Amino acid sequence: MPASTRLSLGLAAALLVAAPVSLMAGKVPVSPSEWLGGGLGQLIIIELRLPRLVLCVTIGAALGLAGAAMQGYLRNPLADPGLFGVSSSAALGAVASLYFGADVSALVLPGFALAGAAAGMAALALVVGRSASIILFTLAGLLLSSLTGALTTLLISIAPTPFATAEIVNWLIGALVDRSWRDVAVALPLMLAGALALAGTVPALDALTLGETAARSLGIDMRRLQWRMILGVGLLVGASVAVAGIIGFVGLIVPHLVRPLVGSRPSAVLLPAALAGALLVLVADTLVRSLPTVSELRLGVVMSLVGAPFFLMLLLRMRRELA
Amino acid sequence: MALAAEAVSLALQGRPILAGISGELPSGAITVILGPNGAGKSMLLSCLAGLRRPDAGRVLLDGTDVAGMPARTRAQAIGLLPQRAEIHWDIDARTLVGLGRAPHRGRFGPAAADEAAIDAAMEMTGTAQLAARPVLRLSGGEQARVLLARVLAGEPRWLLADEPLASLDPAHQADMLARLKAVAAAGTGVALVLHDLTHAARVADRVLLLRAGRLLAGGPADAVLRPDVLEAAYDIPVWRGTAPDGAPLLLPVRRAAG
Repeated sequence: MPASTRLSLGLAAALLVAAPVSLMAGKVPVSPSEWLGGGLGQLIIIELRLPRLVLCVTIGAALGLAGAAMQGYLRNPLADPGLFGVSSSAALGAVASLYFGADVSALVLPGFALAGAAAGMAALALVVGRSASIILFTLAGLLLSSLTGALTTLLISIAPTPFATAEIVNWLIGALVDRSWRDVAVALPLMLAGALALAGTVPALDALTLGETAARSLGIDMRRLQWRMILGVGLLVGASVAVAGIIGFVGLIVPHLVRPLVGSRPSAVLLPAALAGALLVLVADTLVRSLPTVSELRLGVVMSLVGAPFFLMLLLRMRRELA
Repeated sequence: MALAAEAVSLALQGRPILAGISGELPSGAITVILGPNGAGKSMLLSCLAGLRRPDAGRVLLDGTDVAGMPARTRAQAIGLLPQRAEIHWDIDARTLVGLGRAPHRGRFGPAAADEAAIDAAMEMTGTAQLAARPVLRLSGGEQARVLLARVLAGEPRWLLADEPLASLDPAHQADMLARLKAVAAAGTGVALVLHDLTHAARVADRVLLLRAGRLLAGGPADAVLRPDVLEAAYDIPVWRGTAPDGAPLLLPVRRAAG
């Protein structure tokens, strides 16, 4: 059995263990006997914790998969879906809806976020144009993310009321509090479509190990690959941001954890990275809910707190290798 | 069967790079593309590989325009070893060689034919014992052989290599040339961009000599690799002698005083 299949099976098993534990965790402990026993326990499980569980798993998988694909495409272990500018475009869309006073829980916010993500993807495609250059693509992504970041800051600074400001800032820090099945219904189909688009990139990502020229000589259509990347990563990340805000570092960390275990082949990293991403977000969210803090810690904050030292470790290891 | 350029012209941003180049790469022979820096050698190779569409003229593979062929069909017939070796991930050597099967691979993973082609390519390049080693930790010479195996694994009918000897020491250069010769002897058409004239003389069956985007001379190696022709191309006198093993020796020399 290839190493990546073995790792995927192990991760799937870990997910199956983590899922019920996560359902039990929270301010109100609900033991498995109450899950289907009617009453409040069942309500909490079915209407609150189950959708949250599904979102944790799908968002983690989406970010892990998008990150692994981005790193393979850019052939850069430090690439992150955030580099792409789509998550900040989606965030800008969401923030715009909050600015105009939309109710956070309504469908308006995810709708705006998705529109933002779509606009970001369209802008990226437009800038990159007919060229299939990876450098142009990276720079266009950087341009997009800094522009949308600046516009988001602008909206925060001119928000009509302090309440709107607080709401925007609060939302920007990714979290999965009070999510419902409606959020699952918004995100899941888009993420599946995104994953499907990325599944088609497998041979191309592997061939890119040899560089762009060699990949083209192997019959890889670089323009088609670029379209698939924009569509796939855009849908995965856009849908994640639409329902959970920006959760950083998952897309960066997870492919790294997985890569040495599967022999570094870009396509072998994809599935384990999706599963490991799901597990990481699920465990982190369960911890966030279980910690005895006054108000719940935000998932996005925890991810960044864990992610930053990891990133530092990576840089130090790279420095050692370069020395 | 031949891969042939027919009056290929190419301009980049209004600057002419290739002007009406015609030449043929016969099967089972080594064609060396020579010329000073900026003569258009790599661009010609890129056109021959079907990666760049000429502005005028065509590259024909058994009578079909390669620029219009489906990428997969083209990739099955023509293998390219690019100028700068790139290996971006630390995969094992056998996996890297397997990447060369991309144009043949079916939807459902590697088939027996793929494994056999990978084995044969590694055997031919003497890399079989490196199979499980991570490529980034191999020596430069070993990496070059593994990358050659990668191209051979695709079982191309033409192998185009852009400066395959760059960054190799003399022994590895000789080894690489011998392996490329064996590839041609097995029936593959081989085209090499080279800088070293003596290397060219050792392996070339035919030579295309470019200068400033034009074909200065083309034909059997002995007809092109003459001191007067080479001096006209490189602007430096070339001395032709014979090495102890009987092979021609071509050495750029200082211009005589006066």
